[in-house]
Amino acid sequence: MDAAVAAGLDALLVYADREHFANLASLTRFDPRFEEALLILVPGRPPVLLVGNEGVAYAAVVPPGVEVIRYQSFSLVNQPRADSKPLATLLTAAGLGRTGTGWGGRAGPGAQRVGIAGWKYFGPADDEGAEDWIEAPAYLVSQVQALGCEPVNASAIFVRPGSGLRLVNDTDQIACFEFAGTHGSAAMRRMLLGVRPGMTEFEAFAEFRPIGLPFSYHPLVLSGERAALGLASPSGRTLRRGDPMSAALGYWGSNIARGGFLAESPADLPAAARDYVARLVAPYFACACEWYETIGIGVTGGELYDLVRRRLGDPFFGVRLNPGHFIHLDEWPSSPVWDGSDVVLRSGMTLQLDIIPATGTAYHTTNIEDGVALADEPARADLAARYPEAWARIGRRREFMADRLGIRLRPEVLPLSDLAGYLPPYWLAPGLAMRKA
Amino acid sequence: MPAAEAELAEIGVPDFGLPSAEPSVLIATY
Repeated sequence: MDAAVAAGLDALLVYADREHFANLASLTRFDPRFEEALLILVPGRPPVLLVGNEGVAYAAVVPPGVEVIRYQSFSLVNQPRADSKPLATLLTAAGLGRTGTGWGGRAGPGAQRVGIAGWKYFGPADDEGAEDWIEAPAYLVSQVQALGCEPVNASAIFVRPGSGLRLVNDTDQIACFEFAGTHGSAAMRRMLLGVRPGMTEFEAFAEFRPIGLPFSYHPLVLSGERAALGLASPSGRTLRRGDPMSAALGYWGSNIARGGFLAESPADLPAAARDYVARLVAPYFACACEWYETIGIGVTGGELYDLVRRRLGDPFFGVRLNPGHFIHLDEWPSSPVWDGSDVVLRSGMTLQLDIIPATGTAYHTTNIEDGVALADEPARADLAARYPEAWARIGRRREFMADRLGIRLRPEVLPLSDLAGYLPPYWLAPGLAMRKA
Repeated sequence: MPAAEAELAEIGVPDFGLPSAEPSVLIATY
């Protein structure tokens, strides 16, 4: 709430749905699964969480002191609606508006300037006046306005690079992300060891054997002409030797992605891409190595951007999106990596190496996306003391990267995935991977 | 990129073991 007050807000509403859950989940542990939810924060008053019919039982996960109220319009269509008060009444009771009295009838002036955090915030690069756009349901915004309040977009409080509350994690959060990254990378390892020509994409996906952690996006295994779709889910397409392949799986707090060919050697590659490793994979890997060896506390996002542009700026590589971004419960809360970014990386941040060539040619792509945490010496000591297993895995990953791959990380860079730095271009020979020469 | 910067090698598939338990905060979250 301090950040909201510092932003000149009298109250903060945190809206969430299944896709845009991370702000709410990071504050309360509650995500609305398939309904919607709204957290109402007013200084000096107890937090109030409005949930739908089926969220009431699950709301037992929220910390003590959060008042959970059933608001049935957040429930699925045609479910009962008769047992909850109107939204305006609930907002007023929670402290909003000129007549706000506070929950339980306490006296006090109502909040006037009300921040609404949905997911995104906007700026001049989006459109003229876009900073006033609010990404939340129109009915919520209009109800806030009807109470005489001024709604403003407050999403930046959580995700603006350089100041966002969710972009600096404590030790427990990093341990959770390491847990997710460990299992996510284990799933990718199982798939890479099991995928074969003749399988369908469904069968190849089944090699992931996911353990049930929630996904931050639709996981995928794509092959052949479907690989270029990038975001599609698996299909019944049968994999053929020489297919371009893409695979990705992101449990909350992690994302593990690889791109390559269903091949054992250059002989299996499309004729037009027989020099795949020399032309695309080797320069890509060299860039990824420099990214890993550059990132650290005190480094700016602009420095990461510059090195990727210097190495992979040729249009052939087709690297068009930010080469690196923050990761949290959601896969991309925001990115500090853009041309000229002066956002300074700090201890507690978790970031993805996300350099994705989209060649649009027979060379397809190559990809080595995993996550790292930045941790200063006290944070590392805390992690080692309280999560010794995770700390030991991180140490073994760092040793592997240095000794086998030639990638020397700064001390504060903690790989969260077993596969960090591991780039196998030929998926039928997964033991064959790139290393610094 | 100078070709000598990176090369293919028999590396193996890295595997550093699975956690014996999830961090305690996860139990309450899910």
